Amino acid sequence: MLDIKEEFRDSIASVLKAECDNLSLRAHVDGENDLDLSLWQHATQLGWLSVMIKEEFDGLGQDFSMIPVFHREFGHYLAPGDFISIHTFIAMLQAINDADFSKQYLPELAAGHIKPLVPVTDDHIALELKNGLLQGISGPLLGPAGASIAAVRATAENGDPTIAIVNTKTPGCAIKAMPVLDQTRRRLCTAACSEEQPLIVLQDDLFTRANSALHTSARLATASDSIGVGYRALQSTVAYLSERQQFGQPIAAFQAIQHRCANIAKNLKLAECQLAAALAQLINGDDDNEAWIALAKAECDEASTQAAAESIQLHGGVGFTWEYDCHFFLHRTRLNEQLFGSPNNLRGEALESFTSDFRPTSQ
Amino acid sequence: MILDYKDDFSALRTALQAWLADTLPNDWFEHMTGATEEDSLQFQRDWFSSLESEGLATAHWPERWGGVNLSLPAQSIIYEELAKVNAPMTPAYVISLYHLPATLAEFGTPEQRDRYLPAVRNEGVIWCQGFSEPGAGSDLVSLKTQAVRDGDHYVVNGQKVWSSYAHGAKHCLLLVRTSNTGSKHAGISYLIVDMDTPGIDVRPIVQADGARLDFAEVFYEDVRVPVENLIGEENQGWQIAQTTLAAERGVIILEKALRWRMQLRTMLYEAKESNACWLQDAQLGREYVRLMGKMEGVLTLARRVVSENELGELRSMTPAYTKILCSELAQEIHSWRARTAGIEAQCVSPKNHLVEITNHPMSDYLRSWALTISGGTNEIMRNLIARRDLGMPKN
Ligand SMILES: Cc1cc2nc3c(=O)[nH]c(=O)nc-3n(C[C@H](O)[C@H](O)[C@H](O)COP(=O)(O)OP(=O)(O)OC[C@H]3O[C@@H](n4cnc5c(N)ncnc54)[C@H](O)[C@@H]3O)c2cc1C
Repeated sequence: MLDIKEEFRDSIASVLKAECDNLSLRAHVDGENDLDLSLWQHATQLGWLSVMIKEEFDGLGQDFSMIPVFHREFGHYLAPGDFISIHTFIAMLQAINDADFSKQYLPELAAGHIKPLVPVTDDHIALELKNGLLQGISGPLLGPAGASIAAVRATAENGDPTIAIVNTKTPGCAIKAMPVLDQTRRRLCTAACSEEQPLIVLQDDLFTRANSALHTSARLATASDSIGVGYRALQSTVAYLSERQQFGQPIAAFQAIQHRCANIAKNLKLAECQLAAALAQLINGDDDNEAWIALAKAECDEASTQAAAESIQLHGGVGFTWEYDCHFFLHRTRLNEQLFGSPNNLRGEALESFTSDFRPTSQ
Repeated sequence: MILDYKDDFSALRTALQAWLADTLPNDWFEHMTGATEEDSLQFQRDWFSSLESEGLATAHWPERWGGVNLSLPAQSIIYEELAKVNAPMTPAYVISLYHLPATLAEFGTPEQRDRYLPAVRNEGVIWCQGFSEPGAGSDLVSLKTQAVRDGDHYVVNGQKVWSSYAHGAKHCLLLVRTSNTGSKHAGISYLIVDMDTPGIDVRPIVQADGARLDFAEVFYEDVRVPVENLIGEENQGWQIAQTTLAAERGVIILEKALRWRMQLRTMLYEAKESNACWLQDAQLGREYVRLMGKMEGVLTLARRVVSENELGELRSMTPAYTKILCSELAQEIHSWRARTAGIEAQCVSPKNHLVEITNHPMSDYLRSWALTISGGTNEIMRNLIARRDLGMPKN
């Protein structure tokens, strides 16, 4: 197990190191290259997309523990791409386990032929199902505006939450890009539907399973991305502090500065360990594992936001420039905080989950 | 014997549960609530000897000194089962159980090991640690208590401070200065001192929470210590002390962390049962689950410290991270409890000194500074992390 993980990490890191250096990332931000597409190419060739797909559908059949390995590297390199959405969509399809649907879509997804959109909030109010047709506007979706398939949250006629999967290329569905400030990942959209016939509507038990897989996969991925960004921010900051001289010494030698860096490091360490613990609980099938992942994601996002925010202050004037990467760090972690549950919401959700377990005895 | 099941975890659990049900008096908690500190210490001695009748307190020791070299998962099971029934803690034995064997294992003579280690197991001998001095706290290497060789004895003069459980201890692990030439590090030696040697004066210091017997100042005036009580070589003490201090950051933390986790979960259960008002307060509820989540991260770290120790990874920075995170989390938990308990937490009521989390959130909160200050302050840990882990330069 350890070996496969290490191999997977090495494979990702070596590609990102070669392709996603600072120059090419900045060229990508300026619209001068298709870094995201070339990473997608590598991903399809190296099996990054299919890592969790069952072997019968051409995948590598690994469990959730590959998700953190992958996304932490992507966070570290601030890499662009549609990987959180595709990994999440795949996890969801496998959770619903619909034979026809899996057969039709999983191999296509594994091969990188289709790109999906996934909902980043739990909001399902503005999109409704009427007589089996979708009407209204979805909440924000993660993925490229050119995606060909989308999972959207919608309210059923009886008021229940559902997830509907739609073919975005039909006349009843219009995808609109939502520009975001994070220039390393410009990929939020909404779907406007007019009498759109979904490919499948997930309700009741299917909804619960799909929703749980969506939360689990997306939160693990996003939290890991945050940890990657956070450590990268800390590393860049310490490197700068060790070089920059003031008062005749490197500013890294000032204890006030050292303790701020140590605080960032220890908060990242805790968040990282919390995520590892939550992952272990998920793999063991422990109770409440969704709640533990929710809590870990909140901690990872906050610790990495602290690392990013401190990187600006500790760089001084240059931290406030476009030329330095600090703003990339902060935009990326702040966006992560809002994807798939903000820290406040996640903690509320976990409390709900822990307290509901005790309900029968207390009444 | 319970430890016969050390490799069969579910049988181990069952055996422990049965033993605890038989052995731990049902009313011990009420009985010891409001007890004097002297009675509490006696109770610790009694409970320690009960644990040792099954070898439970020293199960982590190597086999040649009567332990069973217990594996980490099995050790965790013991701690968890003790935590479940909120069994009494035995803080007076911390030095005897962890610092002493780690130190003697690496640097003691066979005679020292044979003389002192079985006595801990069989007689429940309490040890204390005389490192800190009024002028040498964080800057421990500046310690001045002097030992001068006189024939086959050292003659010790000086003052130690903050020696935990010194008044109940039979022996002390003492750091002394034996040379004033060369570097400060190279002039320190490590002695075993019998606390009933003439010339030793133990004066209890009243703690911030009012406890009188938890730590003490210890004065040494012409105290004669036999040369055979030297651990390691003369002037090798600083190096040996690092081993002693490392032992402080091992399974002890794991035991505490498992206790806190159990208590955190119990708190939620009880809150739900009694429909506690904090459950209606969304903000307090979110703060609570946040603590629960962090607890899992701290536990992961504490386990890592222990397994790294077993692998002999001495230069790892995990202990420094764990020390800060664990102590800060304890402080946050108690702070939350004190806030949540309202005015009641500010009122006086009888105390129980033998549990990790008492019915006194304010007093637990105050005592949590013991963790952020002792064993290398959290500021010193930050210095270490910045310099050794992040590679930042010395001022
Ligand atoms: C409950 C408890 C039990 C103890 N038990 C024992 C025991 O059994 N045996 C024993 O020998 N000792 C014991 N100690 C002593 C403990 O090891 C010392 O208190 C500790 O090392 C700090 O030393 P100090 O108290 O002299 O504080 P100081 O070193 O004077 O520190 C005061 C403040 O200054 C900060 N500071 C100091 N140096 C630096 C620096 N270089 N950079 C940044 N900040 C710095 C500290 O972090 C602290 O906040 C115990 C202490 C407590 C609280």
